[in-house]
Amino acid sequence: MDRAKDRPPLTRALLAAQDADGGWGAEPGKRSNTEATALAVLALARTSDPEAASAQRRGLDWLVGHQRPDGGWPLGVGQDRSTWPTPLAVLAVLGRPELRERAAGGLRWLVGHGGIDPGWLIRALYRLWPAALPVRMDPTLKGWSWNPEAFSWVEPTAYALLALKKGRAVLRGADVDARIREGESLLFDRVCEGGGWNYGNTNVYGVSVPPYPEVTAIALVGLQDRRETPAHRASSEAMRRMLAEVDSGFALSWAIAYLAVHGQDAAAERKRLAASYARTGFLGSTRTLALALIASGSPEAVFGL
Amino acid sequence: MTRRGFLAAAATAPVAAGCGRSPSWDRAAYRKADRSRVAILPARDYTVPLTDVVLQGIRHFRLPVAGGKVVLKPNLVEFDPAGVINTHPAVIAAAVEAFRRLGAREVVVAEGPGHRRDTEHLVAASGLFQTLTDLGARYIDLNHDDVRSVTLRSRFTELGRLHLPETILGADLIVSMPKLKTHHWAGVTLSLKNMFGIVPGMVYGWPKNVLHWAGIHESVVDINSSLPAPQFAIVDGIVGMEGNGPIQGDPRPCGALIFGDDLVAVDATAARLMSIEPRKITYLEHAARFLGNAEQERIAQIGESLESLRQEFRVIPRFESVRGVGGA
Repeated sequence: MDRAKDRPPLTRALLAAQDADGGWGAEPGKRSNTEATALAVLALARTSDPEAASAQRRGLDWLVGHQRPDGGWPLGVGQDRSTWPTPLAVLAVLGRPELRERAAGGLRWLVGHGGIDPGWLIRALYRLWPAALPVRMDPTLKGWSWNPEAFSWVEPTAYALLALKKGRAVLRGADVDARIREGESLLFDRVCEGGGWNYGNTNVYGVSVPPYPEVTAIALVGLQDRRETPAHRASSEAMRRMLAEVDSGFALSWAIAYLAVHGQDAAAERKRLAASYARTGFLGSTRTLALALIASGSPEAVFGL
Repeated sequence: MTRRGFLAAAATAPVAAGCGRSPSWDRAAYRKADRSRVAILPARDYTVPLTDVVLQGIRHFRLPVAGGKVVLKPNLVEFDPAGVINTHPAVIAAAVEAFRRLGAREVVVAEGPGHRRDTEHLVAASGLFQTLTDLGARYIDLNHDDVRSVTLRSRFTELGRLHLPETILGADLIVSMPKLKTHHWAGVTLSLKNMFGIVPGMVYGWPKNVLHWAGIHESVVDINSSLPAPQFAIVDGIVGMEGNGPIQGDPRPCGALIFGDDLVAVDATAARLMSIEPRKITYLEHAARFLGNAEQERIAQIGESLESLRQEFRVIPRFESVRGVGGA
């Protein structure tokens, strides 16, 4: 069999996008970064294709080689601080028994880090005169941030929750549970009117800000074990409403992951995902390519608890 | 739509940003021209031959185009089919064609949307993907570009350094292509504020929260003072946005494209077009100290007169005080 010829297009494209150092960049030819590499490793984890398996091992080696002494992962090559892609790297190494300590190190970093505190003045304003604030949210809640010097937002919080929950086999404890509870509280606080999430603002100057399907799907995957909560129920409804309009590879892939981990059929969305790739090539995004490959296979095995 | 909102309400951002020190900049590196030129050219709507209008606008200025790499930086924030949030694809297409005709080696369109990480959705839904495909032009997602840390050349914030995309650092000409809009945090968003989009989300997040904590106005100045290549501006004022911009405002037809190689002068003129006093916009006031000219008497007007196109753009109550007749 001519494996290269018979290889599915997404796999072929992902293998072609691998950098010489074993990692993947945001686009082919760009410097390797943790997010794209972690997702590619997850995408190729269950392959029976020897070349893909070899690429996956090289990707894992890249992740191991770039884990920082504090346990976290940097954005990518040339970056010297642990930051938001850490939970994705944890998910990528979590399934390998020989990398258990690596995963535990990443999880410990997550437990010890999060968004910055907004300061006493904003805390006081929120408690005493919340209506004076132009945005409606509880600034005292701490989830996870994109950048060590920034506030907590929805997407990095959802990634961290997923990693901590999936990582309970290697790291447990009251501190882990407490961080999970607070991260969930932040997501509950940031639910848009009518359900769903955007980047993390529900209302500005009295005007509701609408949810985004991709962020809603990611948050619901992070909250897949909290289906009894009003936030999960309302946001699942919102996701169903938004699903018809989802058109991009990134959003469709996460929507499929959401459906899969909730035991729902995603055949129609998988067809639309293939059509999206044919239409735009995902604008060359390696991250989306990897996510689409996961979504085309068994996302419940990758993102399910 | 960020924590900067808290700071705005609490009036702490400017205090935090300015407390205990004076803004500074490399005085040897900046020499404001005695006079700047800004061209306002009429364009009734997006169906007129915009490439001709853009070519006419560019030709008023001496720009390093021939043989160079031109990076067009439109404003692409969110997509609302009923709204006018983004720089219209027809204006972007006209700019691609115009710079190609003027001999650019390469013209790319690059943006790093500040709220949505799903760039593919924004680019496709806004019509930009099809436009660029038809033109054979590349779109570069600055949020996910390779980055390099650069030292900022002014100190209005405490940031000191910023990671900037290689696409921007490798440009021979950076063209800021904002929409003519009011803005609920900054007052107005024009060619200087539009440069927030070059700061990569991969490093700073969605929204680019670090900049908000550092102070929106101050960050605008520090980013623009540190750009490595010459800049030019083409403001899409064919249909602008008033009220609760930059996303939830209302369309306001204005019928003009605004051009200039002094972004401060362009923004000051565009603000006057909206009947907003530019010196009451904090970042314009800062920038006018060393980056360019905001005073009307220092701006030579080309094309349509300001008076013939000036309109009263609505602003949110917080910014009522920025209204003015537009004098110096």
